[in-house]
Amino acid sequence: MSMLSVENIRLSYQTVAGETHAIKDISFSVEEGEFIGIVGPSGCGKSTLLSCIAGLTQPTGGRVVLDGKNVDGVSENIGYMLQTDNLLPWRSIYRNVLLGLEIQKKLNEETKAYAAELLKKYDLWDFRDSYPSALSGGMRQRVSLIRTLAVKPRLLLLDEAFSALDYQTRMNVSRDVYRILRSENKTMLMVTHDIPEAVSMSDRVMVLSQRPAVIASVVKCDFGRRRDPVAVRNNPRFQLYFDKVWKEMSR
Amino acid sequence: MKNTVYSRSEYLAEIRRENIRIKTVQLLSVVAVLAGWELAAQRGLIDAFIVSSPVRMVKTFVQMARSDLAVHVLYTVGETLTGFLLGVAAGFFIAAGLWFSPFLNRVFAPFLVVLNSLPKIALGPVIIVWAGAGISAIITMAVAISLIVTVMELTHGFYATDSGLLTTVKSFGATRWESFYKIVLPCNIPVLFQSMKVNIGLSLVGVIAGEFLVSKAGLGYLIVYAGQVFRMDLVMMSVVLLGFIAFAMYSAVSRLEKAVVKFINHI
Repeated sequence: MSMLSVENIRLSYQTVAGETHAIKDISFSVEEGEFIGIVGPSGCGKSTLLSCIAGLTQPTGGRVVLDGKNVDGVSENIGYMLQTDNLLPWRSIYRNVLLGLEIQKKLNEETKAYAAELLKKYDLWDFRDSYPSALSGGMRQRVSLIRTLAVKPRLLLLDEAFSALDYQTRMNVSRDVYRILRSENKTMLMVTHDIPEAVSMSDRVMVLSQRPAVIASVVKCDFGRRRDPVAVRNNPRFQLYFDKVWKEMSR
Repeated sequence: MKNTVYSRSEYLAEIRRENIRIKTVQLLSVVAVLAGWELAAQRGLIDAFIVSSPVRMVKTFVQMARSDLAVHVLYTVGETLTGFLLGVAAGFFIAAGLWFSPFLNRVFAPFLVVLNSLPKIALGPVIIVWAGAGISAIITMAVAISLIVTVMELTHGFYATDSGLLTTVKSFGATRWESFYKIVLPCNIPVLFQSMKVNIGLSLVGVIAGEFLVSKAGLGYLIVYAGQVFRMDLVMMSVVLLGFIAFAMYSAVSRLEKAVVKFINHI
């Protein structure tokens, strides 16, 4: 059985001015440990799709099933990361990392130790008492990821998580995130408008159509699971996958 | 603008000199106004009986200080602080309520706009009848003047809270209450203090207006009494004293803000 299955998701926005059909009908499933990229023309509803899977937006129809259970509302098994790091400027790095645990009432010696271990493992322990303003954009995004991981979600949703960063930082952070998520054995779904980013990090890239969105095509990016998302860009097949995605997107 | 390249010590010294220049000119301006005023009064260019003069004000101050000036100051300051605290507390709770219920916010928004433009002093006679002719009427006036602005500013600030931070805590499963005290409240500390800085002044306005209408003590009472018996020295002295009191209370709120921000950053 798949870890996540998205079944016939439909979504229309209602406003007084009228109705917008954002997602027509989307179904797919994700196996445990898979990394999926979702790309599509801007405004096609890819972020909305992610928000439905996160349980933050109620779809008009269809359902999301995680580990055999319907997702209605926010699930503790799903971590959600946004474009900006959204660290609380008045909290130290360590206390920022504990935020999710606090809200989910899971703050105890064991979870604190796990959070500390993550900080140590990913070179942020020395900054535990610093405030977010003292850290670089890339470090802040890593703290944000650790905050999401601290509550031990099994599935991570990344919504344009690197697009606020400058080019160089973005490459480094995508490599860090890839490494961290693989070594923590997570499953990931990322939405991005950056095709190379999607191809370099995903096992499969789903291309969405214009609004109302359907899945136009799925491109397998066969680089294995021990890849380096920066180095893989020099792989001859990278261009091949990129062209496939690009063609589907510009149809 | 000079385009000089400074060394660190030169740069700091220049900043210090600039600060000293500003302070000096400020001090000189005050001295110039006071000296000009005094001189014009003594030369008979202006009628000191009507516009008073700095020396006469100081004399009045010394004379009043020996009598019951402290009582009047205490009344006015006490009423202002009480009105201020009640106004801020009530305003905060109402604004929080309006954030918790967007429905109520939409219901009451137009009423708030109307109440905000209404000159609250016009309510004076009503307040006296309802709250009784005394300190309670004066405090009610202070609250009436500051409350609506507080509610509007805080509600606006609460609703303008960074949506990314709110989505983040929501994705962890935060309730609206948790979103409020973990995100909305700390995000709005600057808004809260901005409104408090305005309110401490507004509250003083309300107290003086209240004391004009009904009181047996306080600087507002003193001003009205002195005006009626044509003791302009006493009127002017009380007004200047009010200026000092307003400045002192504003500084106190500023200091409190620094302390609270420091505290927030260490919890």
